Amino acid sequence: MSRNKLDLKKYVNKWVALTYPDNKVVGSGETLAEAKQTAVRKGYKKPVFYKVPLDAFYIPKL
Amino acid sequence: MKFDYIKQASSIDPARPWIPRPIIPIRLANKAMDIDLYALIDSGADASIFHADIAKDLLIDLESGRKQELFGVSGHPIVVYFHKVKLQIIGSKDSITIEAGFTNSTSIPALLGQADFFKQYKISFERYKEQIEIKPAPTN
Repeated sequence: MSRNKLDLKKYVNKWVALTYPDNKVVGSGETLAEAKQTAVRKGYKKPVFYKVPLDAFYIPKL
Repeated sequence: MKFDYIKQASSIDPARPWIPRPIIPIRLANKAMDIDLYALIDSGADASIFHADIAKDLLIDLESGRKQELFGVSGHPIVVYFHKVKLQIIGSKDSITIEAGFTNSTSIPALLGQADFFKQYKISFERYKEQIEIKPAPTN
């Protein structure tokens, strides 16, 4: 899988912690704090976090 | 800076083609706290909006910010609290200050919108190449 392809189907609506730039999942959780905790426990101190959306985004308008 | 679109597998129907999205890595900072995130560049969003979990991680007192109701395409309001934070595109040495909205709405991950972000960068979407180019906006 190339590094710009993310198969995150099992993480929909969850937070994931990814290595950058190769995008390996190193943590996940219902909250950002949980995802961070699992990544830090594995030794990844500075991952990139992403909240996995459904197939549609909410688009805010002021 | 150039970034490739990130392609995401469909969660509704795995047989569907992967969905390419203009998602870039950013760093948000509040005083000594910072966090790295992937954020969607959303030209249809009037402001940059982030999930409240991010405010919590940055030790921002969510409800002390300016409160505003925003409406999306569904017409349902969401409550957003605005706070000033620093935003840096990962890979760039410069940062900008933005007024970011934070919300507990579960449907909002991280969106980079018109106010502040589009105002301070020249953003070229090259969907046919699945690439985004971002440069500082020219000063007048």
